[in-house]
Amino acid sequence: MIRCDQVSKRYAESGEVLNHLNLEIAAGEMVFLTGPSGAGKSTLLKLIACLERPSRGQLLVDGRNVGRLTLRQIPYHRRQVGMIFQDHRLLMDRSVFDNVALPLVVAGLGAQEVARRVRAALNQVGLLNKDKAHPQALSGGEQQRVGIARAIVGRPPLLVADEPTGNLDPRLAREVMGLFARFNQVGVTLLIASHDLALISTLPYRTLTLDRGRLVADTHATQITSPETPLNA
Amino acid sequence: MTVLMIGIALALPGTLYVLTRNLTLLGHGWEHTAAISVFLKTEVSAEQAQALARRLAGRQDLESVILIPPEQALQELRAETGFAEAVEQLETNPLPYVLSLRPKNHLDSAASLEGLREALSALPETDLVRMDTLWVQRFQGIIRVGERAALVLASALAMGVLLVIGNTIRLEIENCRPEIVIMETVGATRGFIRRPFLWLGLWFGGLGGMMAWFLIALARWLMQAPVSQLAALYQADFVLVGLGPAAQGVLLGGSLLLGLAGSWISVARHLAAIEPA
Repeated sequence: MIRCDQVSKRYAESGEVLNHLNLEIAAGEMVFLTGPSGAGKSTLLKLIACLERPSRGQLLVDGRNVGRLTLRQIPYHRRQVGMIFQDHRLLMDRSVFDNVALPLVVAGLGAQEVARRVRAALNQVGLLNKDKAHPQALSGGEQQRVGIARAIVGRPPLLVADEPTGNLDPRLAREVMGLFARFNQVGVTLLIASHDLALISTLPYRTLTLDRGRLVADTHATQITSPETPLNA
Repeated sequence: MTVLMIGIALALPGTLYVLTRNLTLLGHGWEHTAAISVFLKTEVSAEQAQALARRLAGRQDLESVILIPPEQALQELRAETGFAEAVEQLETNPLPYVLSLRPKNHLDSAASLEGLREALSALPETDLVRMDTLWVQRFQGIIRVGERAALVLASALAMGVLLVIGNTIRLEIENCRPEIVIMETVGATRGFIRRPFLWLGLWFGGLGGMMAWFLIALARWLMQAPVSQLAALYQADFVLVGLGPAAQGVLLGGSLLLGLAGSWISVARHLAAIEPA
């Protein structure tokens, strides 16, 4: 699903953020991406969603060479990648329903289909009864779940999440991870950037560790012997 | 606010255009009174005058030739001026035969008019040629200056309208920046994001055009009463005309086009600068 081949990203201000990165994530995998601040986690996610372009190297997402997408192709690529942010990036002056509907509206779906899919997405994150509320009226955990509903409403094969539990307490964080695990069970590929090592280490998923733009560790799920509590218990 | 600014900017050249249009109509009225008077020598007989009138009537550059005999001229003088008593004192009629000529297309070419005057002066029967057309020509020249000024003003103010609309759209884009970033992130195409701003520009242009039309109509309505009073003083009946259907079409179509162009330029410049990151 994701294949990095000597991918580098250089910013004029901060220099080389990703440095000849090589990694591969298969379809259907759920992978954590961890490492200290400035290791390049967010940058890698932005490259995958084509919010940024690699400076060098080749990045393939679902067979598409992200560095070579034309301006016209970029929106269609982004519809295939659900993106979840730490700060949710919700429109505060729109209802929960409208926020979640946005990816479908920009894709030009009919109103009935939009309503049906939005309700399904909100149902999956457990917010079906909050569709008319505004994001300010919701708790942090609920806002994050609205962001997740927006990412999955277009049914993308790949979800990337940037610190999705960064602002949540451990119980809520665990709940969100449980949601991700459920999506993974139905075949969605997930790449989740997080520095919450305490949480990640208890979960039976592959973990990639970045440091200064390089891959320094690739811990496979099989190496975790006994998760304390299974997420879907 | 934007609509009012656009309206005023478009109404200025529009009003100037209406002004020149009315002056042109006024000029057309005068053209028919403008003529060349050829005063024949007093010794020219009635037969000679009539023969000359027939000869001139055959000329290509004259529209009409009217022979005014001295008796008729004297009667008019007696009837229309305050000289009735003085005229009564006269023992003989001192007035000559007069030919009143109206040239064809006499306003178009000063050179051909001058040629006509020379030809008429050269006739052996002619005593004096008087042209009433020169000032009408000058008047037409002034109108042409006015029309050109309206065009220049319209071009300059059209640029102004483009800037006003472009700037309004730019502010609107800035207001919507967070929304645009999120829409781009979830896969909105450039066209999808651009569309509402182009519609907005079209609306501004259209409403501005209608505002301009309204302002011009208002100006005409305000001017009608005093103009009618002035016309009445000259025993004339003059009704101010408005823009006319063609100019109305140009005004509305032009303003719509300006709205679209202004927003297009602004959107092209400012939307490209917004990138999700």
